[in-house]
Amino acid sequence: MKLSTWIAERGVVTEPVEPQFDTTYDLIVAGLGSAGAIALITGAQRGLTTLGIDKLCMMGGSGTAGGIASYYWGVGGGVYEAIDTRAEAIAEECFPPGGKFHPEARHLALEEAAVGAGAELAYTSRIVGVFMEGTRVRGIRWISPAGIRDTACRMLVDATGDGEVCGITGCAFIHGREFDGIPQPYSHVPCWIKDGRHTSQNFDAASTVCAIDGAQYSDGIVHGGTYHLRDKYSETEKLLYAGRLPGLREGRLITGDTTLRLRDYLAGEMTDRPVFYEYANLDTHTQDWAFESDTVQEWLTVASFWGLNFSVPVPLGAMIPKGFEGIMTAGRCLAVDHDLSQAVRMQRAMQQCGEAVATAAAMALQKNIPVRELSYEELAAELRRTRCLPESVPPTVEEQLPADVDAIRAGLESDNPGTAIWAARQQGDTIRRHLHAWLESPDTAPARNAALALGLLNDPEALPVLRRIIRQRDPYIPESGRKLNARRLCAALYLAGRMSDSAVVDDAATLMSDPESELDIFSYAFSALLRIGGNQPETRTAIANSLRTILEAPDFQRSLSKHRSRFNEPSEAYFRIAAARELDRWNIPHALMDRVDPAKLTMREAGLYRHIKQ
Amino acid sequence: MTRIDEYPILALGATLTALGLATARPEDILVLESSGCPAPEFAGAFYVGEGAVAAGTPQGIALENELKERDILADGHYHIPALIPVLYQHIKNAGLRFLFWTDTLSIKAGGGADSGYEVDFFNASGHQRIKVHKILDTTSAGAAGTVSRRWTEKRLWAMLHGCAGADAPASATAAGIDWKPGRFSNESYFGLRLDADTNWPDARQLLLDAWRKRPAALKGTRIAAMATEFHYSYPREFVPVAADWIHRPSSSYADPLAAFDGGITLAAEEWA
Ligand SMILES: Cc1cc2nc3c(=O)[nH]c(=O)nc-3n(C[C@H](O)[C@H](O)[C@H](O)COP(=O)(O)OP(=O)(O)OC[C@H]3O[C@@H](n4cnc5c(N)ncnc54)[C@H](O)[C@@H]3O)c2cc1C
Repeated sequence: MKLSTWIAERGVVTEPVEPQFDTTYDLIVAGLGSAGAIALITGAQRGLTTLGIDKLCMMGGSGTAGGIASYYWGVGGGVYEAIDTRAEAIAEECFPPGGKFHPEARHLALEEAAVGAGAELAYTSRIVGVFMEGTRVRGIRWISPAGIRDTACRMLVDATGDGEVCGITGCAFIHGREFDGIPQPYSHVPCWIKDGRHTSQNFDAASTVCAIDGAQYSDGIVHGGTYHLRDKYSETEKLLYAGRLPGLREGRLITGDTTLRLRDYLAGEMTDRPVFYEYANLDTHTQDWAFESDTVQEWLTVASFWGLNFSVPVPLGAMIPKGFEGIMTAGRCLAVDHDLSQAVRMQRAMQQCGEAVATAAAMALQKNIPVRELSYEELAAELRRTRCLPESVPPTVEEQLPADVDAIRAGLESDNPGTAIWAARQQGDTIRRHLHAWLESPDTAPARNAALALGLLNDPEALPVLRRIIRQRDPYIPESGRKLNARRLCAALYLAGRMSDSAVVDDAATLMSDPESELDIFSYAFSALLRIGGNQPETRTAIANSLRTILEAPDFQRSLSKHRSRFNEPSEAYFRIAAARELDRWNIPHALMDRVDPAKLTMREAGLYRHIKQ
Repeated sequence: MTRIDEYPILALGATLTALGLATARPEDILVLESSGCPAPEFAGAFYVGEGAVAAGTPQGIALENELKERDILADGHYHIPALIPVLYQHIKNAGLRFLFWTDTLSIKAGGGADSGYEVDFFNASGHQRIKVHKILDTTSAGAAGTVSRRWTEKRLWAMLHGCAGADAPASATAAGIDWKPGRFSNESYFGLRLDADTNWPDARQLLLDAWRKRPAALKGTRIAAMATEFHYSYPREFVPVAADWIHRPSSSYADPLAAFDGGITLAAEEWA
């Protein structure tokens, strides 16, 4: 047998061992948050011997200690609903009103259910090593208040949110987005009693924290915690606690037997073997969409679809780390890409994820077969019984799109053109000639929106209208999204950059140098210039000159203003580092890094800096 | 960004004593804390102390003044959770080296005279080893199972919301219940003495039951939140664990400011 550990700066290290296990459990669940708590309870209720391990002294994770006292969309159904009912009764009796559910009542109800089902709980504990035979997990080394212990299991579930146990095991994972390695921002959520009501504050958002950097993790906790400072506290605004959980939205995302990607989903590639569904929007808390993937920018910027909900069927394979046995994941570290992880992470779905994983584990262990060999029909039948797998499901994206040309044309004329733009993208050649025809009056809404749709099809006929949108600094903001809509100007900059249109270089540079340009416009212009320069070598000198003039200026200032928060984060170094990387690739000398002090970077800037160094 | 290597002093637990020590000697000290919260022994345990003690050191007086200005402390009564953001701010502004969400795995003598200790710990970066010359363990339970139990009482506290009647009990009752006022008129703290081995689920149920049977004067209250740390009462003494390694639980101080001062005094006197 070997012991796999994660050693700082070296990554996964294994050594041969002959462990003396103190006990064997059928199922060990690491992390008892939204997913892990339900996995543990489900496993115990299904007759498995179970041990639940958490760093905290309570169950429920983000939904309790983390102060996230509300459900964001999702599809109802599953064993968690009975626990919620019990939590409501406890809250009614003991706690002040407020929130969708009371975090304290909820963790009491979860604990009651776990203990009642015979699960053992190990709080303030953490897994630090995983015992393996080949690629099969056999047990864990963990630190408890009583010291280090070695314990065997037949199935290990990593429900730590950050995928820490999978990391230790050596499972493949990704972290953050491609451009800069940065995950979604975190929010260090405090709980208050305000005017007699329990409330938590999702202040959106502290910054970004790398889930595999202990020092930054800690600095993030400290930084986020300062946001709860008030000049005066009062009877009507009492702080209860803060920092029980750091509030990360995204950590490691494992590579699964099946890894779900937003671009595949939007291309209609979906499983027909779901074990639960997510139903939410692409709820990104990222503020710099210009540095997200093409798929996200198509969705959020061009279609302006922040807020369009869609359902995502999730198969069991997304919870099985590729190439390993005896280990599964549950919760937000499941196998999705960074893009889709912004949607597939909400509490209802994560609880159902925990139920599905533990149900599958129990059935496989009872049959003594690998979980991969479980009959989908049998598993689905079990999950339908508790309604973890619902009878009817809210719509996918495709089901929300207009189908015929007249409806698409009407959509392009409306203030809610997103579905029409997207439908046109999906129809491609079928509708292309109509889109060309609609370009005729370039200053009308249908023409401009048709240009966006054609841009999504990489059709050069869109370019004259896109250039016009940029030149005129088109101020239009659609209403396609629920809350956060993207400017048409940003969509045009993105598409022109993607199509490497050198004709917009001067206008993009002018937008960047205009102090009146807001950060989103500045970022999209910047991103467009990097892309055009990347693909059109003859534009590089001009682009580099513009970037150097703007970014090397000692008084250059840009801060990231948070959509819904009172806080600004300096961003000068971010742009300088990103530009320096590109100019280095182009072999153009610059002094951008002379203006960057690595000791004074924000966490977001430090993320990009580290990403580039790697 | 925090750097890890060799440190003159390692403090275990982001307690007020450790904060005092780190405030006095910011260059020399690394603090490891398993949770994400500063002052776990007071703010995390909802323990408001035994009646506020005025601070004695300049740094302690500055902290006391800040707590008073922010309405966190008045007339000897604390709005104890609000210590948390104040201390985060202090750590950040003073550039103190704290590693939260970090578990201490083992402490081994370095070998040879005055060769200090090798400490292994684990956090999001994985397994790490540092070398330290002195260790101050300020945790209530003793870090990494290295310190034997010396505490005299274990208690679970809850913060209560709502107004207590005028005849609310002022101190411990026979049933092991203790009640202490908070900073605001609708804030108080309700604690239950526990047997040594009581685990979290049982402790919470016992506390709930005790609150259900609370004295009539507390009827108008509800539970705002339960503590995430047990409070351990300790005799007020430094206990040597080994050479250059002492256990001084911060919770043994009667008051948060006294604990903070205790760390500063330690830095200034014994470990100067
Ligand atoms: C700020 C914020 C706001 C959100 N708002 C909403 C909302 O309004 N509605 C909604 O539905 N969803 C919301 N979400 C999303 C949702 O809450 C989370 O994605 C979901 O709860 C994640 O579930 P999980 O089980 O993966 O992780 P968690 O619930 O976070 O649980 C992880 C558990 O693992 C434990 N753990 C971590 N590391 C270790 C370790 N090494 N060893 C042992 N235990 C460990 C933690 O203590 C925790 O208990 C929000 C998320 C955040 C961060």
